[in-house]
Amino acid sequence: MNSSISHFSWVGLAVAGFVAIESAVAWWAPRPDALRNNLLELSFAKPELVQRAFVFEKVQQFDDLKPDIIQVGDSSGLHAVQSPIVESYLGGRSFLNLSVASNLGFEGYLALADRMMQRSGSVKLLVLYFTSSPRPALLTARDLMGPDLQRELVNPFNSVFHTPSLGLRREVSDRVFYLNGRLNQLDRPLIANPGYFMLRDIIASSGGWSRETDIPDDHIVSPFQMIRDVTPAVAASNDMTIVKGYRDLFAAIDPVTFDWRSLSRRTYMEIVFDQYLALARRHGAHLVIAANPYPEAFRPQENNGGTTSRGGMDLPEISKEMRAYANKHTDVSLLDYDYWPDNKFSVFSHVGTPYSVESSHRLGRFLADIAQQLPSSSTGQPTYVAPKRVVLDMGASPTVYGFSDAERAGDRRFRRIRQGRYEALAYARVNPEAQQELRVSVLNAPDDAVLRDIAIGLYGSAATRLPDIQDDGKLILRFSLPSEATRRFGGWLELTLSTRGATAWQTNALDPAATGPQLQIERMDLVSR
Amino acid sequence: MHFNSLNYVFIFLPFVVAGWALLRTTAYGNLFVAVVSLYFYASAELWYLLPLFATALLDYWVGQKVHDTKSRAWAKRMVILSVVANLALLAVFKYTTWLTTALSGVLAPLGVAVPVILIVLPPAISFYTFQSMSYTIDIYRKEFHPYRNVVDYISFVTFFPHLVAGPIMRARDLLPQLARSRPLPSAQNVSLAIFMILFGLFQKTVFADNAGGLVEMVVQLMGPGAKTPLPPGLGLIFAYGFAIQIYCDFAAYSTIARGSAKLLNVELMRNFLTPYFATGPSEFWQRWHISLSTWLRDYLYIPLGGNRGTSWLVMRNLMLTMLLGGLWHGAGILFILWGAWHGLLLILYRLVPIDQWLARFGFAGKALAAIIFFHLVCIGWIFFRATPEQIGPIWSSIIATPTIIPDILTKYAQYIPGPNAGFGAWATFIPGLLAGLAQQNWYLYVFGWGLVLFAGPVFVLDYLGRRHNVEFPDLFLRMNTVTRAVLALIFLYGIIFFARRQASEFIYFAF
Repeated sequence: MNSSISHFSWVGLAVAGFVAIESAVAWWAPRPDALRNNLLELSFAKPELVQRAFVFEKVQQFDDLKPDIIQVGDSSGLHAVQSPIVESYLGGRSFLNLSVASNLGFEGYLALADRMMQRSGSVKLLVLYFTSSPRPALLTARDLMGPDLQRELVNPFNSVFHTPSLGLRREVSDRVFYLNGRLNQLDRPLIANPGYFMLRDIIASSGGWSRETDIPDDHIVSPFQMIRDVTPAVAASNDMTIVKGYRDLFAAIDPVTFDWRSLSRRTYMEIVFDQYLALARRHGAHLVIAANPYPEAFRPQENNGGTTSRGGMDLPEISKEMRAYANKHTDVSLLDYDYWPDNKFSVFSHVGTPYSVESSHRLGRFLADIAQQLPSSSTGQPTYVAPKRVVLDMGASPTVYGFSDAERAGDRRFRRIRQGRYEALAYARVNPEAQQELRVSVLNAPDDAVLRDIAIGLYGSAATRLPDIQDDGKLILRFSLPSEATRRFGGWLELTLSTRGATAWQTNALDPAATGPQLQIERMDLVSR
Repeated sequence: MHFNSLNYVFIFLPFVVAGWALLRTTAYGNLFVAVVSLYFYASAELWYLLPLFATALLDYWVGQKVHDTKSRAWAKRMVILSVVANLALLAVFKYTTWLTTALSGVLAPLGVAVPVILIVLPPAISFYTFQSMSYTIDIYRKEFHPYRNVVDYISFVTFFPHLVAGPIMRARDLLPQLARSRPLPSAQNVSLAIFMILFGLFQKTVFADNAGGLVEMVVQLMGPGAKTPLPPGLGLIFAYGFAIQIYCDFAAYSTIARGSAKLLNVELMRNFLTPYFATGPSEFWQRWHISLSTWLRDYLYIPLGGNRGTSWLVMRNLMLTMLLGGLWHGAGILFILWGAWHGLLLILYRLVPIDQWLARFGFAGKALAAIIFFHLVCIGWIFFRATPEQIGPIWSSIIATPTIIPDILTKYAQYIPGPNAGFGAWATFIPGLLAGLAQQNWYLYVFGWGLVLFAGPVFVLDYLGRRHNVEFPDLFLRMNTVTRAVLALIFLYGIIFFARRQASEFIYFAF
């Protein structure tokens, strides 16, 4: 017997060593739960999949918050819903946008919701926000991240293997793979994608919203171009081929499948909605199914007494099915899709950044009544506390919209409003109770007329121009922000910077034929006074 | 199910071992092993079982008939039926898509439309058809007798540790082990099995998958359709990286398979034995995918005539065997070229025994022979891994590698210290030159470091094994307790910190 046991003494010694190492890490170098998983690949010299990095950032940022309402879903919600604006309708309840991208699949969105609801115990309303309908491609495709997220974020079996040392994985692999940065900028392998850095910079203050980055020129050519732009594989095809190719993806009527759980034939939509409803019910929460608006180009055309679907989607049929589901359950509400002008979209599934304010209001208005019926916020914790000074570094931060790409001129990093643009947007969150001053550091000092016409607007309210100052030889334009505007959305600001005196985004702000001043901005500071 | 999944290591394997331990003395022991093996294989797609059962049941039946008949002619007919049926099944699943695609391309300009038939390849079909075929052939040759219990036979064909990617076991080696009521494995064997499984997981997830990442990055740099030229040297990263990936991937699978089988007190044959230290092709094939090379030797090369006959006949036999070996790996002209390349090497080394000549110079000569042959093997791996359009850029990059040094010297010519320059001038110039070299060849520099990380330890571990003519995990029996424990912790933390998370399938699953 003793002889048999002696063969395993090395196992005992290894287990003891393992326990000692893990205990030491847990005691001296603990890392948050959000880091203790295998969500990121962290492969040698290989960029991370951008959507995976988005999930990681959102989990890391929001893991310990206790929101009253959460939203999960695809990128239509990521780009359409600014949490502070929605919160302005919710009577003091907090809202978090956990939407990421459609390649998570419905199983992936569900994992994010499940984790947040389990950890916080505070969620009373679950919003599933998406474009188009649940369909096989978003449930069963092999490259979806859903199973990974289920495994890494919520599966109790896998969590057993999320040891304390796993939280050090990135630090250790950075040291070994890149010799602590000597072989690479440490961020670069994480993702070589400006959209990632933009999202990382802004989601804490925006409550999970991030601006749209798919279309650099910010405007639509045609509805079918929108589909082409998101799927290069079919870019070479003619319009009809594209529509045909997309018929499977945007199935006109959701195919019926055999559901092994209920042993009945059901649509994918029902199966998905049931999973979300079951999760909401487990936590005593209400479920909202919310559809992103569609471009007018997708509105079915009426002809000879019937309708023809556009873009491969039979939206009325999808709507009918969603309504039927919501009518069947008292704890489900539906925000159905509507049609918006094409120019409010960058791709068919993403509202353009200037219109994300409008889509945030749309969701906020819808949730207002439902939120009234919820118990009052149990935590009252703000999801974000603004610092005294907010710096928008124009060379590095891509949180602005409407500028050209960052450029370098010697050591100077700046952004410019280039020809064909008149306006730009910048986003930040400040202390709503303090008077705010915006300081714009101008680099190229265009002629007096341009400087005179520069205006800053906050949701249509004009900022008051203060006397300019010179700082270290640079021209600083100063503006006092109207306090009612900074308070409106809890300090969340969309600043419209116009070179022609406008205080709100103009629909022709991106006129490709126009020529305009090339205003160069180094940075913008928001200072509490 | 994959060996490198938590479900396999912590749920499936313990469940199977416990179940077998409980049932092993009853009539249900092998039935249990067969059922869990079928679950292991077909949990992703149930229809995979259809060709598997077709092969297994046909050969089970043929085996009985061949044995029972008194007529050799009838027995021959039956065994031909088995061989033809197995090869036909393999051909339908493995080669139909390739052939119809090729035919469609060739005949399209002539106005003949050939529809491309897309057929999904069930995993492991190349392995189990060869294994099952050898059963009927061995019975025909009177080297083995049929087993009458169909459950025993099914458990032989489907035995989960080796079903998906080998080793390709002969019935005479495996069936008798499975058919008898086995005792529990010894404590020493269980201990060794745990070590083997842990080492296999480490080898697969850290070395194979990360080396595969380097290969993927080089492929990515070539862009769609390999239209972007590769910088000098990266072609070598591709070849070296894939050499490490495929070796560690397949050897790890075999090690985990052997370890898993040991827990059921079954011995599977060794499939690898430090192959990259081979000094020539004959030795390489005695050390690489040993179960396939011996299968090809026994069932193809020797029946073709083997070493008997004239030099020309021997060379023909070698080439035919390797061509079919290439085709076994996959449907595609490059697999055939890979087989032809190894056939050529076997012939070349037979005509010009470079390895034997170099061996006269002792250790240095053998080392040089191993280095030369390793590079020849790497050339073959380019055919194995690359697509036809990638071959050109990879070779251009390899050929351009020697230009790296002259290029940088030309760029830095003005800074080269003069003939009377002192030490200080050189002490400034050399680091500057090296920094410039790294900057100018950044990908090569970073990926080269990757190779050091993921290939370096592989050669060290293999060298340790080679000294005792075993694989590294076999050294376990020579290690003391502390060494074993320290190595286990290194493997464990290697997996925690450096294992690639998303790459998972073993390469040979595709064959």
